[in-house]
Amino acid sequence: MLALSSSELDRISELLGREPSLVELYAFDAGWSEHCSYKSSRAHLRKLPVEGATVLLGVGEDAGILDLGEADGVRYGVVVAHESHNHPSQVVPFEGAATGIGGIVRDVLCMGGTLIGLLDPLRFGRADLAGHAHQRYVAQSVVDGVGGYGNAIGVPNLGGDVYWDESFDDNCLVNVVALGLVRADQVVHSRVPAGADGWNLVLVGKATDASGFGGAAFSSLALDEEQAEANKGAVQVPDPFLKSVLMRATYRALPLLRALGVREPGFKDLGAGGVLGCSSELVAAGGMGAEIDLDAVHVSAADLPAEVIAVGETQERMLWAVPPGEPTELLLRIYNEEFGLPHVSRGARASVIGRVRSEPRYTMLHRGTVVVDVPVQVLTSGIRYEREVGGAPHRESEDPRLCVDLAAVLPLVLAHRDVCSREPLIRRYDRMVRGTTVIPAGHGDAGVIAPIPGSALGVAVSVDGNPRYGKLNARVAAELAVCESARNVAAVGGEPIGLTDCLNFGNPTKPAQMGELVEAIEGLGAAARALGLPYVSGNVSLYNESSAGSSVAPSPIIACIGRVADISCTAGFAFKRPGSAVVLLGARSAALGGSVVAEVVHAAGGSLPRPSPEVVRTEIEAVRRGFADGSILSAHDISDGGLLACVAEMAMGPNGENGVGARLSSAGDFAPSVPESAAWFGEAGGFVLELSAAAAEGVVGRWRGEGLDAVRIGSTVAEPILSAGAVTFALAELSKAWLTPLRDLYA
Amino acid sequence: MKTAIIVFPGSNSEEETLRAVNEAGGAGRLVWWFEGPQALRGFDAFILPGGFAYEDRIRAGAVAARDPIVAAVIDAATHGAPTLGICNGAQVLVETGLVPGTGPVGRPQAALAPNAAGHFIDTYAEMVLSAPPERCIFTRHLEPGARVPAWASHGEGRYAFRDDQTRRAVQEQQLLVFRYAGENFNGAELNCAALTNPAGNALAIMPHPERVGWRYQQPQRAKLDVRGDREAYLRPYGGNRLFALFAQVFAR
Repeated sequence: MLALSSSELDRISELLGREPSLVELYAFDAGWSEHCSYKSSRAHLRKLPVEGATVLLGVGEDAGILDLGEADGVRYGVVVAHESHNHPSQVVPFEGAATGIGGIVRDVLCMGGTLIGLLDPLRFGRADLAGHAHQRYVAQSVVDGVGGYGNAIGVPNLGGDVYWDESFDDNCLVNVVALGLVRADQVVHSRVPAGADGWNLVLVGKATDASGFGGAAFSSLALDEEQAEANKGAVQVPDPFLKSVLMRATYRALPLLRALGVREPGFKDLGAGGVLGCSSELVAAGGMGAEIDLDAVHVSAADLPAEVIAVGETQERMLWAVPPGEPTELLLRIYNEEFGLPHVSRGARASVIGRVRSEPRYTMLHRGTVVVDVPVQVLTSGIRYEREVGGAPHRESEDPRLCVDLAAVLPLVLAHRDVCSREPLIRRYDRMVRGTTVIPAGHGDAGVIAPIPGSALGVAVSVDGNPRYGKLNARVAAELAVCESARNVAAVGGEPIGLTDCLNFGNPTKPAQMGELVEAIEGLGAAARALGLPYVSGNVSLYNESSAGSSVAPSPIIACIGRVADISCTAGFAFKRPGSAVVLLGARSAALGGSVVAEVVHAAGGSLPRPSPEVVRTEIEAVRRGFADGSILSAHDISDGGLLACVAEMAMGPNGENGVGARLSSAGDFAPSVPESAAWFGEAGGFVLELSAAAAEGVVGRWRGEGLDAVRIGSTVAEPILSAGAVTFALAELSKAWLTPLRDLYA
Repeated sequence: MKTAIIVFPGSNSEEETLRAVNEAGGAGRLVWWFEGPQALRGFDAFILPGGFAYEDRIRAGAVAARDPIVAAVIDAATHGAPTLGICNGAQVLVETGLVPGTGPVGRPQAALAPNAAGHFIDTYAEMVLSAPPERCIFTRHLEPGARVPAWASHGEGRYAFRDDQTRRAVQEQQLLVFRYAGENFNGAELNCAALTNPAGNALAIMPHPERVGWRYQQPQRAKLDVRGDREAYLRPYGGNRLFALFAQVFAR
């Protein structure tokens, strides 16, 4: 099944000056897919800020790299990749989610990075509703797939998030973020260097088979129930066991290649477009060409058609470009003999499949016949569309005047599917492997690791994006996601240094859905510029629609990466001790649109809080100083469920057993201009901070002097209670409400 | 003592286990499966680390237990070499029959069955020393009833014994070295976290002491009093208490 349109077919013939061969046709089918070419989005993505002092390597290769700083005189980079595997995960959830991780791990590996962490933002249909058996199956199997792969390869899970919304009933979102560590002077590039003429192209990994044929094209079409069965063949088969060995063999190969004087090997993941897609991009990026012998590709069966070998997307494969002679022999020895790939997975190995040519022409032979012969840029330059951009739907309205009963509503808010404890899900993932974890997933607003043994230098990372906001206003939702991800990094003591974005949207050929994408990109750009943060990596996933043709909730999902100068100055969100000051940083607002409380009390309408990224930036800087000077004991970002849910979580702690209570004043005392319900449950961003009692007055005074909206709202107490004005809760009761909902799906 | 940390295809905890040994004053080196049994010559002690050796095909640890390199380890262990299996390594030791070793060599007396919940569980899991300290060489310098922090991450960690006779023998011979201090999250028989062999020179421990082996890895409360002290954060602590004691074995 080809996804190319008839006008695209005409354009191909025009470009080549002849009819394309079958292999060429499939090559264009993959290369011109939305997935590979960003044909609808690229013109708009240019509006995102991608440069800055913290960027070691910007967008354009397998992954971007941020400057982490120096440890023992060596400069390190954090490799960051962010991908989606939405359609495969909807059709075959376990394999789809697992191969999503498999692919992104290779992106990091191919930059010369050591894998140090994974995160998994997930969006599922209403699996909690009766009669939603398939949504339940998807929600459980995706998590099994993420864990099944990530746990096996031994990369710690550092976080993620999960939302349930009916717009994902027919089209779940499975994003994945992978982080790597690389010495700044040992970055490997997704291109051949100048002077690579005659270098060998060495394919390593699994034997090419018929799995994953047509994957890029498939992921760029709307999902159709009737074709779902037929499309299962387009999903790849994961092999984390082979990947684990490939990773270790690659870690061994990199320094040995350097020792042979190969400073700039080319190294690239085989993803969309398979052998042809990867090899053409690897050489074209260096201004060169290639000749590939398809008969040299190790395959699982002798009779595979040429187009399957050429563009099939079999997992667990990577392509090296290295000089002939010793470097080539080294790779063959490490992969084939030492690490014995053929014994690890049937037919897996390293094979020389072709050569780099200085002439920028791409040729491919199959059984003595030339099946591809084109100028390489024709394959790699892709195609662009100027899609019609319609007005994005804005569904905000006047905010409801709520007057809720605190005592009854807080337990309901804490038990809401988007607020309740994620521990039953997170504990299916290995959080501590590698021995580098400082703040595990679920224990802080961001995960924190110390990836360099013996060094206090750390990395903090968080992912965010709220579909309830996306449905109301894509642009504002995007700004809120950027601000929240940066705040989350700050809330553990990290300093935000960069972002990635994965844009999960509907059908770009429908002007209103295209409009949502464009508005979200504008929001992402505006917020990032105000915060001074660049995007170093990203992904666009379109055609996420229901069978009825409506889009998923517009979902710009953001990862923020932070630098931690000293891991001993970080903290999880749980209150640390009684007698501290509880301080609110960030103004409350009357906005209740998309809030959890509005859903809990069935209140319709409402507007989104309007973030001011400039204010967020100054708040983040204040929190960073507070962590560095030790005055902040713990911090928590205000998001789903609002201020009171935030304080309750700090009191309960990640496992509900923290047992440090809090007494808060009445909302009228600290937010007199905002209705009480909105003050407690509105989701305007901000921080709740636990400050040491001795420092609190001075710190709050200083912040107010700097124009920040800071106010002390109470104290931590030894009793296991939470009181808000005149209402008092037992923490045990709140914990019960908060801890149990996801056990139904994951315990 | 020179310590070999043996890496199988599928192992994933080798690096931090090596760090834990070396920070405890041992002299560790990774030995890869493809180096073969001859590579173990000159080593005095052995660690089988966590992971999924040989993809845990058939049963966790079952294939690795038949790897020639493991045969060499078991041979050394039956001659008294200190031998530690952590998580997947514990599964391998149990599959060889070395631990608990109440039956003939080569015949497993226990198994690490799938967790009672039926899925992988990742959780902090403190352990309590449940045998006299001198019962196992790895615990002989701990105080009776010592609590040692660890972090469990496994899908198949439920200790199950072959029969009542084995269960009785394990209790009578005091081979149950560590129990879980808190919730029996995986449903292990006797709440068992770690078993030794009758000679006391081998230990098969399901949760990972090396994952709570430095101060920075501890739960929040165990690092609150050293906030802002980076040297303290980076020092061995907690689970490394076990490795610190290994040092007295390994670092001789």
